[in-house]
Amino acid sequence: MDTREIIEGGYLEALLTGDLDDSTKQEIEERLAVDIELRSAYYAIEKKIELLAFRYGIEPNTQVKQRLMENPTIMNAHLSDDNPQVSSFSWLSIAASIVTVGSMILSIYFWNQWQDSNQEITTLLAEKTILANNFQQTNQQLDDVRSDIAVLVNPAFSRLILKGTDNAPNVEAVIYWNKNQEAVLINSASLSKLNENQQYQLWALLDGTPIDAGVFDAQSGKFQNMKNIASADAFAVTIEPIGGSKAPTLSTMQVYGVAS
Amino acid sequence: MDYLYDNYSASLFGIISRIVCHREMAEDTLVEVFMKIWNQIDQYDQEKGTLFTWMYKIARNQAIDKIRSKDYKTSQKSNDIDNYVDMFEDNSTDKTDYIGLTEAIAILGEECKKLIQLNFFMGYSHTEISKNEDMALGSLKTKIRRCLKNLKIGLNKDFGY
Repeated sequence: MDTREIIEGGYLEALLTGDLDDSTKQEIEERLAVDIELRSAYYAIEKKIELLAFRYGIEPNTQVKQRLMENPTIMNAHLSDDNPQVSSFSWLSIAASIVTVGSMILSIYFWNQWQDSNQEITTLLAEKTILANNFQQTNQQLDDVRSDIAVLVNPAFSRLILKGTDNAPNVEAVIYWNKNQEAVLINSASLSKLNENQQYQLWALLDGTPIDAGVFDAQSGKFQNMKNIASADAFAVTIEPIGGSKAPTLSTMQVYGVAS
Repeated sequence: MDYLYDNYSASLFGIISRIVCHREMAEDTLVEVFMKIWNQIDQYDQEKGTLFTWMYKIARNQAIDKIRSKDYKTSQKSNDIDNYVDMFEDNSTDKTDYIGLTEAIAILGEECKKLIQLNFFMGYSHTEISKNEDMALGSLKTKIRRCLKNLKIGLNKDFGY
C-alpha cells in the first residue's frame, strides 16, 4: 500500500479504533514510523477524536477518583512516589547541610589562613624594619668608615699619637689634624670607659696655654670630631666632669703628645 | 496520577459510558482503565501516537472487554446498536466549546454523526457497523474516513495542521 491508499482507504481511522487485523496493523504502524505525511494525517485524526472526546466527555462520580486513589497499587505507588520526594528533599537538606558545614569549615580555615597571613605580614614587616635599620646602620657605618678612610688617606691630615702618662702608662690615643681646615679628630683607642658623670676632654696647648678642644667618650676605633684647632704645640687629654671644664685638671691627664 | 485523572477522566469516561451503558460498571471500568494507564505508562510510545490516543485505546478495549464479560451480559438487558442516541445532541455547554466544533458537527450529516459515534465512541467495530447498517466493509471504511475528513474543526489553527 502506498501513502495515498493508506490515507484514502481509511486505514488510519481503523488503526485508531482497532479495526485492523494484526498484520495490517503492523504494516500501518511501520509505515507511520517512517512516513511524515502519514504521521501528520494520523495526528489530525487523533486530535479530532481527542477534541470530540473532550467536548463530549462525561464527568465521573467524584467517588470514582477516591476509589482509584485508595486502590492499594496506586496508594503504594503514590507512597513510594512520595518517598523519593521526601528522601530527595532530605537528600537536598543533607546536601545543603554538607554545603553549609563545608563552607563553615572553609570559612574557619580561610579565617585562620587570613590570621596566619596577617601574623606573617606583621612578622615580615617587623623583619623588614629591622633589616632596614640594620641596612641604615651598616650604611652609616660604611659612611663612617669611608670618612675615616678619607681622613686616613688624606695627606692633609697628620697623625699624632698621644702616649699614656704616669696616670695611665699603657694607654694611647690618636689625633688626626688637618691644619689647613683646622679639623681635629680623635680615636680614643685604648682609653678606658669612664663613670657616667665623667668625660674625656681634649686640650690643645699653644705657648703653654691649654685651649679646649672638646669633650669625648671612649669609643675605640672611631674618629670623633673635635673643635677646630688652628695651631698647637701639643695635645693632652684629661678626665673632667661631664660637659668638660674651662681649665684642665692636670692631675687627671691621661695621654699627651707633642705636635710635630 | 492526580494530573492524569483530572485531565482525562471525563473524556475517557465519556467513551467508556457510551460503550458500557451501566453507570456503576462504567465507573468500575474507568478505575480499571486508570489502573492500566498507571501500570503501563512506561509502555506509551510517543512515536506511535498521542498520549490521548494511547489512553483512548486502553479505555475502549477495556470497555469492550467489560460488555463481553459474563457479569455485564447477565446484568444488562441489551446493548443493542439500535439503542443509539445521538450524543452530539448533548449541547450542555458547561464545557468549553472548541472553535467551530458545534457548527462543524451540525453540518456533518446524520449518517456521518452516527458512524463516528458508533465507531469511535460506542466501541462498535467496522464489522458490527457494516452488518447493522447494511453496508460493505470497504465502503464503510472510506465513509468513516470521509466523515472524519469532513469534520472540519479548526485544527489548522489549534494544532498546526
